[in-house]
Amino acid sequence: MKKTHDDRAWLPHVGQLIPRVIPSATYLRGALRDLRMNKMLYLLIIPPLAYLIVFHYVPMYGVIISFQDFSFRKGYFGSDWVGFEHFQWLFENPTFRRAFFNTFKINLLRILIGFPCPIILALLINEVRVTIFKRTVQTVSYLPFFISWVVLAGIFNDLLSRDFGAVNNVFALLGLPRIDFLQDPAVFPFTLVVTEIWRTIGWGSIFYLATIATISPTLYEAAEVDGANRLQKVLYITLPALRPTMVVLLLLSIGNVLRVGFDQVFNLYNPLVYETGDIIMTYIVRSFSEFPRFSRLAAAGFIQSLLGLIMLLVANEAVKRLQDGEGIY
Amino acid sequence: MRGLRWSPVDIAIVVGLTVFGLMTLYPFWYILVISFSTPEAYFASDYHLIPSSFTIEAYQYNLDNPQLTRSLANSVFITAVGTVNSLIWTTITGYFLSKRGLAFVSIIFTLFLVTLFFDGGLVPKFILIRQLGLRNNLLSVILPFTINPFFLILTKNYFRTRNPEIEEAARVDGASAFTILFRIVVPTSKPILATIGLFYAVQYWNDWFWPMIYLSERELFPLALHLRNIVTQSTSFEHNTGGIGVTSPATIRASTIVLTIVPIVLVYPFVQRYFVHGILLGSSKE
Repeated sequence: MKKTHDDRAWLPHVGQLIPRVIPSATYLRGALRDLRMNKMLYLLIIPPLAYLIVFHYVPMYGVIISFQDFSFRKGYFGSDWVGFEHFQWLFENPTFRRAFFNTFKINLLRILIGFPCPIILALLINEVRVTIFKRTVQTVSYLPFFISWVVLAGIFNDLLSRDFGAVNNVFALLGLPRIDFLQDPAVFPFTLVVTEIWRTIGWGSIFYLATIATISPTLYEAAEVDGANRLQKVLYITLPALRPTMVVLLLLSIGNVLRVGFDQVFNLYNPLVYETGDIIMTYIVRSFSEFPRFSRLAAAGFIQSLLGLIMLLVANEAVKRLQDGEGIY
Repeated sequence: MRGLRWSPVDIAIVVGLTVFGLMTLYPFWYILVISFSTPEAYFASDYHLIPSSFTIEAYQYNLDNPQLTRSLANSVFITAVGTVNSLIWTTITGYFLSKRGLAFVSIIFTLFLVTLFFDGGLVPKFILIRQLGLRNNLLSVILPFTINPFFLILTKNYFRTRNPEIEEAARVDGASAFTILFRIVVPTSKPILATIGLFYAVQYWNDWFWPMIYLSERELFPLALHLRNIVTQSTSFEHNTGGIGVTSPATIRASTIVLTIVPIVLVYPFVQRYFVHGILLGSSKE
């Protein structure tokens, strides 16, 4: 009995899918009328569509060269097919394997240490009652986000240098040993994490401050009447209200693990710290400028894009489940 | 009213945030002080908190250097042309996508969204630029970045929060879509346009990666790439020589860094008041 019930529940579902694949005559007529009535709007969208196809979809199609032995002379269509040869080569190559795992290690460390920081900053800023001070701290804290890693690397190379850097001078003053932040492979990942926190903590706090602004003041007033102190208000009202934002941002940063960090690493690293600092993108770009084997590097890029895509889709699905069907995108 | 009675907690928070603010600003101050230092003062000072000397030699050296002035001009060109081009097309596309009633909106939006999730990667893009004949052409670092899907979503969402009645009234009066967009929608959407305008300008100004890939002639380098070459060359050299007798001294490097940051720092405070508002309205799902 139960089985037939299941079958019936399943059938109309397939039926609903059909019109989405094959447009019905009514739909087509409607769409054509729509095109006629909004001719101007559709004319305006032609150049952006052309842009999208040429600069985004053509390169997407171009990933097929990861399965070829690409040469410019033969082109996309004439080059010989080699199957998974490049992928096999990459995963047998110790440098690529190291870069592959470093990408995860560095970015997970970044999330582990970095994730709570903007939340703490937002909570502190929220406690300030002098508006002008609050505004100033916010303005200052967003600034580093707009400065490129080329510039920041130029600054940090000097500031973090072992022998002249101000940070190590402070360490020496306090009787601590000097640390080679940029050349010691054991320290380098932490240098990456800390400098990234410095750059993005203010920017990350924007989203939390925005959520805090939506909390109804009556909640705090009621808590005050009940005799709650400041810490209790933060713990029992503000933090729970921030939870959805935290979950979304956390999942999003996990989903982005494979896609971030290139600018920073590429500008701060050097051969001494490849062991712990080299990531997939830096491996690709370095090999590209040293000895460009197009197909092999395209394969490395494809691995990164594909895994990045899967992780992001999983993260988005997780957010959707947690938020009544509302994904990030 | 309790008003502004300062408890020890208040004081601790203000002190803590002041320290935080100073730590954020210190690296910039540090490089600014170095850029105005004489080479001797640079080696003598430990923290560069207070300038002990003042000279504009490093800036003079830089502004007399044709490579620097040329890269500055290239950066200005890329940023100006790129930002205007991006703003126009992002506005048009965002406006189109904000129209709920149109039959093809969701398909086109999906096509843009896909680019957020999957990317062809460095090599296919390089091949494309080469085959379009855009290598060593400044357009190669402008055209491929015309529409940033993130900024497009912000713009679309912002337009959707607008009151449609004014547009409807203009439409009844016979205004075309083009007129409505540029006479009615654009003038009333300053927060979002200022926000994405700033983001695009910063993106073009800061870009060194794609110029490094697509441009090989030094005359075409933007400032950020010129700076990168100075920073990487001199640091690898310093590591070898212990910092003595460097080809491009720290003060010159510092002044190049300052020249690269200054335009951003000058524009930033004016746009800052818009962007928090712009992002938050744009990122809220209606």
